[in-house]
Amino acid sequence: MSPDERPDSISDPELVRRSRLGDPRAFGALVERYHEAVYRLAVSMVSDPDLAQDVAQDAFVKAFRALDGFRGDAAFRTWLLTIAANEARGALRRRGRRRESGLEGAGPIVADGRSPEEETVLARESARARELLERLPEKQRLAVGLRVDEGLSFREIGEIIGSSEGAARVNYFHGIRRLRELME
Amino acid sequence: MNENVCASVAERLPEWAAGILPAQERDRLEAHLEACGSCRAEAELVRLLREGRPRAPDGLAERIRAGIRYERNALSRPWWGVAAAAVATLAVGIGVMSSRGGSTTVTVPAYAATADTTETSMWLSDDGLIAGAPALDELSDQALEQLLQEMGA
Repeated sequence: MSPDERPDSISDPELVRRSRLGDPRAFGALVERYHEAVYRLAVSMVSDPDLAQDVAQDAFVKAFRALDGFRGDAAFRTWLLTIAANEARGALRRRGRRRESGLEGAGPIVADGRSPEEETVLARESARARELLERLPEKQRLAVGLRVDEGLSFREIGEIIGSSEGAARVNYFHGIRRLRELME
Repeated sequence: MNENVCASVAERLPEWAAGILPAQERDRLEAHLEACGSCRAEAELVRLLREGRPRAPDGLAERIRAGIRYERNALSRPWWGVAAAAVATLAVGIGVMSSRGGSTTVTVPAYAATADTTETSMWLSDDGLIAGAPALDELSDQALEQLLQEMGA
C-alpha cells in the first residue's frame, strides 16, 4: 500500500489480496475497518468487556493465520465475524461460566447534534434497550445485534450464528417483538 | 394498515436507523411511519438500539495490530528458531527463579502478544518479571544458535 493511499478507499477483497502478499498495512486496514464490529459481537456474546477484547484480538490473529485458506465464498466481514463468534463460544467454555451481565465498560456511541437534555433521555432509553437486549436468548440477541448494529443481511447472520437465512429472520423479528414488549 | 407494507418497512428499519437508505426510499418509509403507530414504535426501538450500540475501547485496534505483528514475526521464523526462542525463554525464566532463591514468581508477561517488539530490549525488570522476552524475535538465527550453545542446550 503506498503511503498516500487511503485504506478506506480499498475494497475488502483487495485488502485481503494484499495481506496475502505480505503487506502489513493491508491487514492493518482490515483491523481498523472491522475491530468495532468484532468487539460488539464478542461483547454481545460474552458480556465482559475485557474478555471481549481478548476474543477480538484472538479472532483477528486466527483470521490472519487462516487468510490463505479464505476462499472468498463469503464476504471477508462475514468470515471474520464467524471466527469471532467461534472464539467467543470457546472463551466462554474455557472460562466455564455462563454469561453474566457486565457491560458497564462497553460505552455507547455518543451522537451529535442534540441538546444535552435530549442526549440524556436518549442515552437512558438506549441503555435500557441494550440492557433488555441482553435478556434475549442468544440467537435472537445476535440476530438483532448483527442486523441493527452491523447492517448484515439475514443470510450473513445465518452463516454467523449457524442457522438458515429463514431462521435468522425469525430470530430477528421474534427478538424485536420481545424487546417491544419489554420496553412497554 | 397494509401488513405487507409494514413487513417491508420493518425489514429496512436497520438501514433507516443507520442513515444509509436512498433518499426516495427514506421519504417513503418515513411517510409510512407518520401514519402507522406500530411501525413508528418499532422504528424508535431500532433507533435506540442503534444509538446504544457498544463502542470498542480506545486502543483496541492498536492492540490487535500489535498481536498481528507478533504473529507475523513468529510465522516468518524457521521452526527451529521458534523452538530455540521457547527454550531460551524457559532457560532465562529458570535462571531468574534460581537467582532470586525461588521466592519470586516468574511470569512471561501477558503483553508478549501485544508488545511492540522493536521497543523492548531489557530482559529482567526490577520487579523480577521477564521483560522483553519478545525481543527474542529480533535475534538472528545465528544469534539464537550462539545463545543456545552458550546455555549448553
